[in-house]
Amino acid sequence: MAARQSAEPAIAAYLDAVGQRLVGPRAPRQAILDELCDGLHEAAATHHRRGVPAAEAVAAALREFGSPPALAAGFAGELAVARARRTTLAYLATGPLIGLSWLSAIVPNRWWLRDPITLLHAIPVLPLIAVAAVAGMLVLAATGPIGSRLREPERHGLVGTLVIIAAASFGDVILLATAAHFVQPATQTVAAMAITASTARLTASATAMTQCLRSHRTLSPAG
Amino acid sequence: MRAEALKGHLDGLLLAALEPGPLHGYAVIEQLRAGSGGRIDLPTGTVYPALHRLERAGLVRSRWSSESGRRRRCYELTPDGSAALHTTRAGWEEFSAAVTALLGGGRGRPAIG
Repeated sequence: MAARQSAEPAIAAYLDAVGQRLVGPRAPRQAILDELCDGLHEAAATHHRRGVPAAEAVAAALREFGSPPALAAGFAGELAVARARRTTLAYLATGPLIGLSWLSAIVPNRWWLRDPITLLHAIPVLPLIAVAAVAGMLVLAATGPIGSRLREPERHGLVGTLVIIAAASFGDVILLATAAHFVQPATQTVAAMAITASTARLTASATAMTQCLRSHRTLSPAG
Repeated sequence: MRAEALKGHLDGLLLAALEPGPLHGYAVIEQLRAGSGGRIDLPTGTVYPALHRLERAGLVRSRWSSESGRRRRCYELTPDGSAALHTTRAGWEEFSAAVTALLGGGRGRPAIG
């Protein structure tokens, strides 16, 4: 941001126009703008060194970088990958914590000492957890170094992330709707924590779903 | 030379531009222009996303520094990037030799029959 504030006014205006069209997480958007700011100044300096007057050199640099919409569109895939990867990592990091809090509410008295098979059967949304976990692994693969060999990894990543969000949301709704049936008096405190966590995630999922769909709309049509 | 004509060769060209040493994004574009005698003039908007994609693939890595009060991102080849450039170069030499044999007006083409 500091770099843009100290930029030539025409370059700052151009970067603002690009920034308004970048859709994705804040940090990579800022990194792109910082890099373009440096590139535009370098381009203007290069034109100036070749004899173009300073003001015209800036205009020439802006022409060279193209229209803000076209330039921003070039970063849509990269930002979609960042969106998919970050959202997926957030779900994979918080999912086990929310799951364990529900498990503690459902199976009181040191559930970790129980037979694992019995324990698995006690989890009411196990298929949804499995779907989200598999989708999470696929998203991380598609948006990592391996994914660069795929065609349109950004599209695969976003679709996988939407599957995770949908599975988590569906699971949260089921758990919240049926909590009264399986929560036992001895686990009311931990159940309250689980209910709070699932409610918070459900709210966050609505935002994440909107962001992913918005990122998806910025991608050029498949083909 | 139009960008469409270079389709499929962009990654190799960018890796080759970075072979001598680390460069920032605009210097990569200038390196391609200078190295091709001005014949290769890629749209700026395609070069930056391509460099980021190569970084995600592990073929280049970037470092941020400060230059005239601005943040500057410089790219350099990784060992995997050097290996990929070597493979790309070998493939290109084979391809260009075959095309030259066919398009080169019959010079060096073996007679049939």
